[in-house]
Amino acid sequence: MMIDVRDVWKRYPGAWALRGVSFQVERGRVQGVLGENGSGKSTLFRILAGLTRPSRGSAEVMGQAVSVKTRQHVAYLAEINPFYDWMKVMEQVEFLARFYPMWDMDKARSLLSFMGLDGDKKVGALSRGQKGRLKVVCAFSWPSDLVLMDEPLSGIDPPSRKRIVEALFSEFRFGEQTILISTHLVHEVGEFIEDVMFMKEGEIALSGNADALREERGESLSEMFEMVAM
Amino acid sequence: MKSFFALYVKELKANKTLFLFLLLLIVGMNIYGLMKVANVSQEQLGTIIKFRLLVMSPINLAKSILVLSLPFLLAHTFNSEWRSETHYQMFTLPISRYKVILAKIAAVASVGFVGGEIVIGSVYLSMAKIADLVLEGGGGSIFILIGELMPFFDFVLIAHLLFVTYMIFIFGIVTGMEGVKYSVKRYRRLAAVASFVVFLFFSFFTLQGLGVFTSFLMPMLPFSYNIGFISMETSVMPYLSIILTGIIFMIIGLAMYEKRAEI
Repeated sequence: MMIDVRDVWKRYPGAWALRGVSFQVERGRVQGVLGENGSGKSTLFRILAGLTRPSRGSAEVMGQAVSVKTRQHVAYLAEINPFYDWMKVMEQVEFLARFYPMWDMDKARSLLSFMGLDGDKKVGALSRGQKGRLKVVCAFSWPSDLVLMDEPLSGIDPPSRKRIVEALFSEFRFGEQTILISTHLVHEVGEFIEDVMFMKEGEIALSGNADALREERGESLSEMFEMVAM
Repeated sequence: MKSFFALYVKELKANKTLFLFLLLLIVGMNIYGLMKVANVSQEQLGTIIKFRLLVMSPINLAKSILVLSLPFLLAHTFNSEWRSETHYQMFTLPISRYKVILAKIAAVASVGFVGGEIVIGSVYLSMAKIADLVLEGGGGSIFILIGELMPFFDFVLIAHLLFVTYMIFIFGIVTGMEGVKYSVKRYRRLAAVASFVVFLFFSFFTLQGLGVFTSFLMPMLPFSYNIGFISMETSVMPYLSIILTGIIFMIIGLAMYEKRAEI
């Protein structure tokens, strides 16, 4: 099992972000996490990435509680841009390379080229879309076991979105790598998602195999997303 | 070690403007101070107190700026990381968080050491000059302090011991403060100020219990020392007590940052 989340609750000052969330994801699957803002998606991703801890319950990655050890296997694309503005693009990539023994610099260079990013440009001078592309470069420059993508397409211009989705399809190692992806733009990655989980107010409102749900309910994922959000 | 070095270099580069500004300021003030000291004549000397206050004031000011800026520099390295949201990147790296903090401490300590060497060198050169002037003039001043006639090696040893002790102590308090600050989810600034005060309060009583503050009323030397009529015999205990207190605070801060800090 790649991800095993059991009865996870998370409280922030004044509100519960997660209320007893439980789910499992097997290795090699692409799991979509869909829900409105404030439904608890980002909190769930942060817990799995080791940025925050559950108030109750347990979260495991590759059979181990989330820790430094599990972070060696996880590539996390945060919703925000966590890059150093003063670094050049290549400097940022080389900085991260020092922490991951399996980092492939040739792969990083080819991804930078594919994404149309100039390695000599300062990160601070990149547009939001370009920073989104850089996140994908950093996530796929090493063979991680789990990729956590929290709203990778949010607020990004259409050309950048197109490149990110193309990179996702070309770089993802089907059957080996596991992806947990959250997005509002369901139609952009709908065909990529194998299993889906709809979240509402910190709980899982609906979940299952994406194809089975489409067949069973006669609705697209976008329609299910709207129905759950109502 | 490779990852720690990467973090250390990153901290130096991230704060290079601030670090260079501080060092250039210290260099400039010390050069100005040394020029003033070099031009002092026997007639202008007056009392040593006057010499210290007026002639050496740029050097003393540089010393104070260095000492006071170090805790703020360390706190700044934490705050800038959280303000720019790059702590997301730091927290997801496959390393313990204490490495991230130790790299920050090492970077600020490096700046402290460079600045400290400049200040200690300037103070010694000034002391040598005043010693020459005092001896030329008969050397009868009752204000003469042990530092003025101390051999170079002893002076350097004691100055470094004092400076390193101070750095460990103050970095311990700041690390403890930052650990507490990022372990709470609300009122972080209040928590930082409160923990800073608590750590200082705690250290005051702990060290007072060990007699450190009263001992520091006299120049403390880690060995017996004789210059003319002055004879002293002290131990390294006060220094060790302060260093130990700083290390305890540092461990508290590191543990809280590692185990409790979250986004």
